[in-house]
Amino acid sequence: MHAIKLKRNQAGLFKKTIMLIAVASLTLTAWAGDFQKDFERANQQYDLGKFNEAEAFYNSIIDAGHFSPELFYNLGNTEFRLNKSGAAILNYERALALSPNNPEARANLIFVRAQTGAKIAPEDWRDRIVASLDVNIYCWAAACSAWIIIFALAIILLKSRPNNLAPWLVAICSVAFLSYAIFAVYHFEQNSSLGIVISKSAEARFAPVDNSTLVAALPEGSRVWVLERRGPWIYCMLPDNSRAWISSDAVERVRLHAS
Amino acid sequence: MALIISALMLWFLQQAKAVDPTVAATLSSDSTEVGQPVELNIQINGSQRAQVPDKIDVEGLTVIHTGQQTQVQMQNFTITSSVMHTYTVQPDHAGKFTIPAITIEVDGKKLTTQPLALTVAGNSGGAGSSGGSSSNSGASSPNGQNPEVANKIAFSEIVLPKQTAYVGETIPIEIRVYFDASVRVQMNSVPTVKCEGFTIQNLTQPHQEQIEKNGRRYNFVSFKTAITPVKSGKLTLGPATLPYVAMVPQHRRASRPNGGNMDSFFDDDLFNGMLGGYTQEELTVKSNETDLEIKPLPATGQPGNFSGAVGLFSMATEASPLKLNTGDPITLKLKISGRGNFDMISAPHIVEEIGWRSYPPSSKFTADDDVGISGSKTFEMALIPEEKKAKLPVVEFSYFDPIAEKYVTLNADRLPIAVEGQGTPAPVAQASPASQPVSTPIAAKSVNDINYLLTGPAHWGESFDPIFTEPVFWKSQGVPFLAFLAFIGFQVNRRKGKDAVARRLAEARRQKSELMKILQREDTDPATFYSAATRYLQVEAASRSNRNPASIASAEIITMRPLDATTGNALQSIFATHEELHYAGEAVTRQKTPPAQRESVLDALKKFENARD
Repeated sequence: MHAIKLKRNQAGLFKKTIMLIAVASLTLTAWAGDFQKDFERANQQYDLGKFNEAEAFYNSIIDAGHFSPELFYNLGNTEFRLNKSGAAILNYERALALSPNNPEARANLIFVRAQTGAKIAPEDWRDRIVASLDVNIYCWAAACSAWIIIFALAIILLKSRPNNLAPWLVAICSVAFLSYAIFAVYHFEQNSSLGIVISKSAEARFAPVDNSTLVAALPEGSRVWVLERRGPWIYCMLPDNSRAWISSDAVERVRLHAS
Repeated sequence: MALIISALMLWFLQQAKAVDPTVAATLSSDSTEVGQPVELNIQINGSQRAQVPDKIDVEGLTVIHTGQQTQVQMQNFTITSSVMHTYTVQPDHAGKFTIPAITIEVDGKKLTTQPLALTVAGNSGGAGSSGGSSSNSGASSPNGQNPEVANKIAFSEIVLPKQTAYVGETIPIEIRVYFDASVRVQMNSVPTVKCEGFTIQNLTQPHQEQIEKNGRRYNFVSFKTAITPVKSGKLTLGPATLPYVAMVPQHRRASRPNGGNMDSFFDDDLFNGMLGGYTQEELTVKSNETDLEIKPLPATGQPGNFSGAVGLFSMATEASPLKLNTGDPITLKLKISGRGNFDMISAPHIVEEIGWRSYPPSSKFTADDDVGISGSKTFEMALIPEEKKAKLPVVEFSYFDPIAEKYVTLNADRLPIAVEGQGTPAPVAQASPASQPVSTPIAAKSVNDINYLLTGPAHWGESFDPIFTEPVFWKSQGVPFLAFLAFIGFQVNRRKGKDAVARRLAEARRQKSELMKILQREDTDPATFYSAATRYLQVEAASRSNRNPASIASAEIITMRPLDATTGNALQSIFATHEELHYAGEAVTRQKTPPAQRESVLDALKKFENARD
């Protein structure tokens, strides 16, 4: 009798859990569905040639703090149609920051850059050795490697057979992989200050003064790294590694933070 | 003491009369340019009683008496005195002039100076045939009190280099104020100039010095500025007004109609200090007005890029780098130097823009004088060649030259440059948003276009922040952490179990070793021998089965291991003998175990030990 009662209770708990998961899934689907509808509406406006309306729809989703690579890619296309090449490049960069292997965004970025003559830093050894993967993959890989190392060391310390080389081999390989993953994450984080010139005439100057000596003129879409902000000026590292001040209106950061 | 000194001076002056007077005229420079005055000095030796003209009339020059200096020298007990009269010669226009011989009456004799030649070169400030002018006026009390006193204390004048000019032409002016040196004066502000139809710049810091003018010493204060006419026609400049506070000696207020030459003698701080106190007067010195004829800029011949610059300018060009790739910027510096209205100078105009992209220039003005009429204005702009170029583009700057009375266009030097690399691609002819075809998806990708939209379900919930900044990442590390703890616990428990078995085996080995010693002794009695043998078998059986040796029965021991029949019988015999002897009594214990029997038992024990489960 008691066993039957226990079985019934267990079945009730299982049903409740299933219900909870189902409700959560539906809520999430509805939540995503709203943005997806707005997103599709924006795409329709784009197809109708109503680029200003499409831009407004895309931006409303971004302002609500919801991001996706497709959203930024499509907004980039819209900005390009509106003859805002700097903003288009910015949004392609954002799409690639969220999805580094997005081939459409990469192709469009190259195309628009060629049109504006945007300046970018040449690819260095770090870019070459770090595979173009999502930074989160490197984060998880680093965490897994760290745990494998910990387990391997525990096995080495607790096992009574010290001449077993397998744990040592696993630990050494994991240390190598962990180092690579941390380096990759660090390399991606270096780009956290990446900014794009969105103005058509960005002048980089030696000092944050309008009549200061000109260091360089940066076409729209050029990449800079924001180092410091002072009033209406930002101190940047330019693609040629020189440093200069640019009007803050002329540059926008790639990374956004959800509100 | 002052009386003694004065008496000595009078004696010296009387002695000085003995020398025959002479006059000589000299110019501080025999050449100058329009707007740059020179000094004419007339030195009278041997007398101080000379009547010199206040103004010398020379066509094209304004020659005004501005002061005098008296000098008394004694050499070998011969006393000589001299007076130096100074005139300011202001050229009105360029040319060669002769200052004629000047007749001066000295002690009743008429002496004549030699004529002097002066060459005047032209410059931007001295155009036109109009003469420079100055207008002066006396001082007045703001409330109308003591105008006589005020007139005696100060007067003022506005000095202009010319009286005709063009609209937009910047004219330097000087406001001169002369205060009687014997009066303590305090100025609390700068002069204000009535200048309807002009823009006026800020006055410079005043220049002050003590001079002698018409036989009186004055504290001379000069303010400089520049005016720019903004409309044509006859415009009036002035008056310039300067309020001040004067500490007037009381005795000066009493009129001395017969003072004569003694006035100047007693007009000395020394006597003022001794003879009376001071009263404070708030007064105003005001200059006269002066008229200027302002001409409009000619409409004919005005260049399209003329921005209103009037004056005389030159342009210098600098550019760097001169060797570059297409798309790289050249910093072009254009320095416009000269004299004129720099406020109206805007950036030079790029005539040839094809293949070039430019950005709005910055500008910086550096003045060479106090009022900002002369100096240089530097424009710095970024030029980007979009294709191969061999020279800088044509850059022009136009201004109106008021001397030549015509427009002038300056061209920047077209410095040679080397532009390498392919030209940046020209912007693709994109359909403007307004003219984009309606309702046609831009799916068809061409070489000159971007890829179409991504229309599938978007991957929402992405973040620009890496996952390690999210709490979920660190919370999820709890799973491997718990697994690690479980692993450690398991390993520790396992190790503990192994240690117990090892301890038990070690104990069994120790017991067996002790029992074997008993079994191998020859003097061991049979009861002890068989008891040790039975115990040995129990310990051996327990070492493999993790049980208490005492709990294992003899019958069970035989069945625990696969034994041949002989060994089994031998073991049964050991157990049976052990029981017999156990209950047999003391008689048996006094005997020794026979060697054959001992060997047989040890052999059976060995076989049991070697038998595997």
